[in-house]
This record gives sequence, structure tokens and C-alpha cells, in this order.
Amino acid sequence: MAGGYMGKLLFVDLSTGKMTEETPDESFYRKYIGGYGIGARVLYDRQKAGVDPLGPENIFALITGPLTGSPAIGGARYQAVAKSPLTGGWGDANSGGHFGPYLKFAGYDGVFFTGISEKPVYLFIDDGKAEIRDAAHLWGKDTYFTEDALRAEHGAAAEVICIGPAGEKLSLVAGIITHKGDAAGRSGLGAVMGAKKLKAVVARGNKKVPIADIKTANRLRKEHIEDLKGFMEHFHKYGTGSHGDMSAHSGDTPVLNWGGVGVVDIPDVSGLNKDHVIANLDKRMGCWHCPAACKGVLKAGTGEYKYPAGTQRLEYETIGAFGANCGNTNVESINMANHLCNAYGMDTISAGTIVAFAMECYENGIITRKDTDGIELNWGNHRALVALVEKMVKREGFGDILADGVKIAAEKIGRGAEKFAVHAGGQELGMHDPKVAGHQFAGMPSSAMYWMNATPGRHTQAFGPASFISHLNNALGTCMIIFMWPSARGPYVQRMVNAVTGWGCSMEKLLKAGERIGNMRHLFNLREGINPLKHYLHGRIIGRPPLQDGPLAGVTSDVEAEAWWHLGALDWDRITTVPSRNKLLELGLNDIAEELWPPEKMPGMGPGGPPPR
Amino acid sequence: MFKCVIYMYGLPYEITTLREVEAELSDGAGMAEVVAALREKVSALEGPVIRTGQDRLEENYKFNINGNFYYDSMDFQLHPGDRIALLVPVTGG
Repeated sequence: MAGGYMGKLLFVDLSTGKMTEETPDESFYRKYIGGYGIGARVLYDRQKAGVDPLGPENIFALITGPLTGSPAIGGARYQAVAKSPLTGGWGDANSGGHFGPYLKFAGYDGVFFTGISEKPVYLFIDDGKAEIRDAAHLWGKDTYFTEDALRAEHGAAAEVICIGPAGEKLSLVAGIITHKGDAAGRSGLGAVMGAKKLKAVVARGNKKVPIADIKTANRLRKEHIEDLKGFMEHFHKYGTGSHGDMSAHSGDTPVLNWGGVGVVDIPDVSGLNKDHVIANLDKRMGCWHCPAACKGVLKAGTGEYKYPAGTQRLEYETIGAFGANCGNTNVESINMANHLCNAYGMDTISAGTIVAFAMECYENGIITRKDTDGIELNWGNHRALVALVEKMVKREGFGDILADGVKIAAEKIGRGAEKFAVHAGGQELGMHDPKVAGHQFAGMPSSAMYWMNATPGRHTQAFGPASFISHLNNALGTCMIIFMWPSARGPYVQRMVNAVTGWGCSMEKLLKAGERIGNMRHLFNLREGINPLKHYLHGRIIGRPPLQDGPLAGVTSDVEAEAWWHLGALDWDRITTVPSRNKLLELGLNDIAEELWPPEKMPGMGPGGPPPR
Repeated sequence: MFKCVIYMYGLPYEITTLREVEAELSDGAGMAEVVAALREKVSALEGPVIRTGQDRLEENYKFNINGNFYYDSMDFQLHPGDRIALLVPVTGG
């Protein structure tokens, strides 16, 4: 077995309690690398199309990559995958923290769950042995209590991922939490855990991740840290929350539910300045062995908002979602909303977008105080924002209507609310307005990325050939910021992968794996009958109509042209989006090529027989 | 010649704290003339936004002219009544 892998996948049937281990061939790891690469292939092979995302047949998995728990900086990530109850298609979410490495130290590259437990349970993986345990005492409890209780029971060296009440109550924007705020938030996968009555997974162990060339890996780590010294100092101090104010005015952060202009609608954004974001900081912390340590925890809130000590310091996405997108510049209220989402297990990107949607409905008279349980949801009303988030995470009153995302909320509210429901394919978008990037045929983010992604609305994966490196990074289990940041000695991806695995791979081959992974996510959706060209995309995302002022005045994305170019570059059909037979064969997906391109679908044979392949 | 207001967003604004810059331009002014005018008016842009000693934008910076983006190596003709803004595409996180 190559370095970087524990060589085992665990399969748990929650209906029967049966557990089996599998040891994939090294060729499987080489092809699908890890994370959602492995996840997409396993779900494609073992899950039928059309299953209920909240039913027993939906496979839910937590998967690491070969660089998770290795000397690679930022090698701390795991991914959650399942069919998404929010979009109805491929779902993945990605988180840092310590859980990913500890899942490997406990002996597994990934764990897959099927079935539904009769009663609430958690999975305890202890140094190569797994056990399903009763979680009745944890059901109904928030993620802070759950993590503390499980660590009290299994020791401080146990790492925990869990859901909160939002996931238990099947909120379709529920996420999975570790370290009281590191979130695999997207795709509604917290609801999948809730539906399975799987409260948590605990990993503990002392196994070592095998490294093919530890001397080289450690040298590369040292060099990488030296290369990023200047960047890391700033990143350590402020994390991703360093530019909430600037982005609100630069055209990056969406403003007033994607319909406003920062410099016009919220001219004073000083409340979102980076120094306010760290004003109540208690201590900085990081993901497992990350030299940047870009995260932090706060002291208890002493002002109007009494969030508890240990609340995680804000990340950019949360600042954007509850800040400019709601017309709110009160950072303490955002800390409180962040705490509520983390404790109850709800995605902050979706939650902030839902509040913005409700505010715009309120401002336009679609809903009134009668609908909102008396909350006055005017733009920028931070007290209303916090009150509404509390109702959403608890699914109380009006919050229950909102807790499944803007698409479903608009359907429930009616009265034309759908025109303010900003989403792509059912999911709320990351807090980067793609219009500011222009067409970005070779970069990210772009409007087509939100539209054409197998998990629409995600902002960390790009679309087209630029997505290959993103898929590779995610599959490797590394942080897209710190591991992928441009550095003096060039990219570390290939060198570190080869030091850890011993594969001796070219970058071209690794990028081909990224392409294969992107194709597998897409193939999962195709089998579900999903053509991304038919994903709904709210007009504001692409400037239809365009904004009239500010940095993006007059800008309309030519999203059809972007898709046309990218589909051609991917060798996917420009109407059906089905990958060509040649592309599938090139990627080594021969079985799927046979499935999608049976002889009757092949081009007619002329004189002289079939064309050469 | 006509007077043109160039709006500044994102890093160009953070660097200069100027929300707009007024410049005298010839009708049909192209990228090089606009960049040269900006450098003359706001020297702080030279280096981080404008390539030192050249009438060219740094990579990533661009103009939004009437809803269309123009990066370094692209050209345009600016006329009275056109709306022009200088911005940088994305941050991150």
C-alpha cells in the first residue's frame, strides 16, 4: 500500500448494526485519491439512482485524503459526502479541525454509513475497532455539549464530529460540526446524519500514517513554512476574517441579498473591520499541526450579545452572510449568530442568506410582523437577525418555515417570495459575487462555477479545467488556502504527494485524477437525471438585471458562453453534458463508458467499419 | 478633451482612500492614456496597481467600462458619458 493511506475503509449499516472493513487496491486510491474522489466512486457503485436523501439507502461518508495527517501543511481536512437533501444531487462538504487526522490515527481512510438506526447512536472508532453506541443522552443537545460529553467519556485525545438539534430536526441547511465551530456546512449533510439518527462519530487512536519518504516530507514542510512566512503572519493574526469591510465595498461580498451596492447601501462598513473581528479574541488556534493557526476563540460576550467563551472567531463567509448581505455591520451580532449556528449545527452561509431573503421579503411587504412572530426584519436590524437565527436553528415559529433554505421557504411563503430566493440549484451561494471575477475561463470563482458545479452554489471548486486542481486538493485532504497559496519555491502539491505516497507521479497525472474526480461527481448527478445546464440560477448572481452603481455597475455575466467553453474543454456534450466516450476511456472509467455509450448509442458505421478509437 | 471621473473600488481605494479621481482625457482615450493619467494624478497607485514606469495595469486589476471588463493587454476607446471604474477582482476566504 502506498504511503499516506491506512488502507482500510469501514462500512457501517446503521439498520442492522453490521460493520465490515474493506481494503481497496492501491490502484483504487491512485485513481480516486481520497475525500470526495473516493466518495463519488463508492456512491456511484453502491447506491441506486433516485434514493431518498433522508432515507436508509442514501450512503453518508466521512473520508480523508492521503495528505490528511501527514507533514503537508494544512493536511487536516476530511470531507463528508452523500446525496444532498438540499439540492437532490451530489452533496459534499469539507472541514478542517482535528477529526480527519484522528480518523486515520484510528485506522481508517474513511467510514461509510447506510441504513437508519432505530434509536440515536454514535460511532466510536478506537484504534482500529469500531462500535455503535447509544446516544440517547446526547440527542437534543447542542454540538458544544455533545463534543464535551464525548471527550469527557473517551478522553481529550478523542476527536468528534457531530450534529446539533438543527440536523436532528432535519433542517436541510444543517451542517456537521467539530471543535465547536469547524463546519462541514454545505449540502445539508447534517440532515442526512439526523435522518440516520447518527449523532456523532468519535475517533481515537495511535496508529501512524505511513509516509514513503518522511525525511523529504519534513524538509518540504519546513521549506513551505519558510516560503509563506509573511503571508502566515497576517493570516495567523486575522484568518479569513481580515477583509469583511473591504469586500463589502469592492464588489466581492454580496450586499442586501445580492441586490445592493456596498458603497451606496452600506457606506459605513467600519464595523466589519478586521480589528473589530478580533477585538474579543481570547486565543488563536489552528487545525491539526497547521503552522498558520488562522482560527481563534473568543472570550464570553459581555455586551448586548452573551455568546459563551470559546465561540469561534468569525470566518469571512460568516461575516459576509450575516454582514453585508443583510446590511448589518454589527460584528457582535454576527458573533452571536455564528455561535447559534455552530451550537445548533447550521451552515452559516445558508443561514445568513436565508435571513437576507426574509429581510427583503419583509421590506417588500411579502411578509409582515404577523408572519415573523413580531420580528421587524428591516435591513441591518441586527437584533432581528439574531432573533430570527435563534428561531431558525430551533425550528420554532417562523424559523421553521425558513430552516430548509430559501428555495423551500419561498415555496411555503408564496406571494411572489421566490423572486428574492437567491440560490443555485437549491443551495445558497458562497459569499463571493462571481460577477466581479469576469468570465474567468481559466480561474475561479465564476458564474458558471456556481451554476455548473455538481453541488451548485459551492464556491471552492471552480468549473471546467480550473476545477481539476481544486478537486485534487480537496481529495488530498489539504487546505485550499494555506497549502495552495502561491509560494516562492512553486507549488508543493506534486512534491509532497510523491514524498508521502511514494508514487513518483507527474503533475499531469495528478491533475488527471482531479479531472476524473470532477467527472465522477458529475456522473453521479447524470445518473440522477440532473443536467447542470438546467440548474436554477437566480438572475442577481449573473447580473440580470445588472446593478446600476458601484464596482459592478452594468456587469452581466455571459454564463452561457462560460459554460459553452468549459463544456468543450471538458469534452462533455454541450447540450446533454454527458462526457464523451473517449473522455471516459481516457480517464480510465471504462465501465461507465460502456454504461453511457452502449453500442446502440455509438455513431453509425459507414463503409470500412467503425471509426478508430 | 473631456473630463472623466474614474471610480475606485477595492484595493485601489484602500491604497489611496480616494473614491474617485477626475482626469482630463482625449476623446477615444485608450488603456495606456487612462493608466498614464491615473499615475500622474495618484502616484500611490504606481507599484501595487500600475506597473512601475509603464502605462499598464498590474495583473488582476481591471477597468469596468459600461459593464465590460478590460485587463492589462486589452484596449478600449473611452468617450464622454462612459462610466469607468478601477477594481480588483476577488479577495478570498
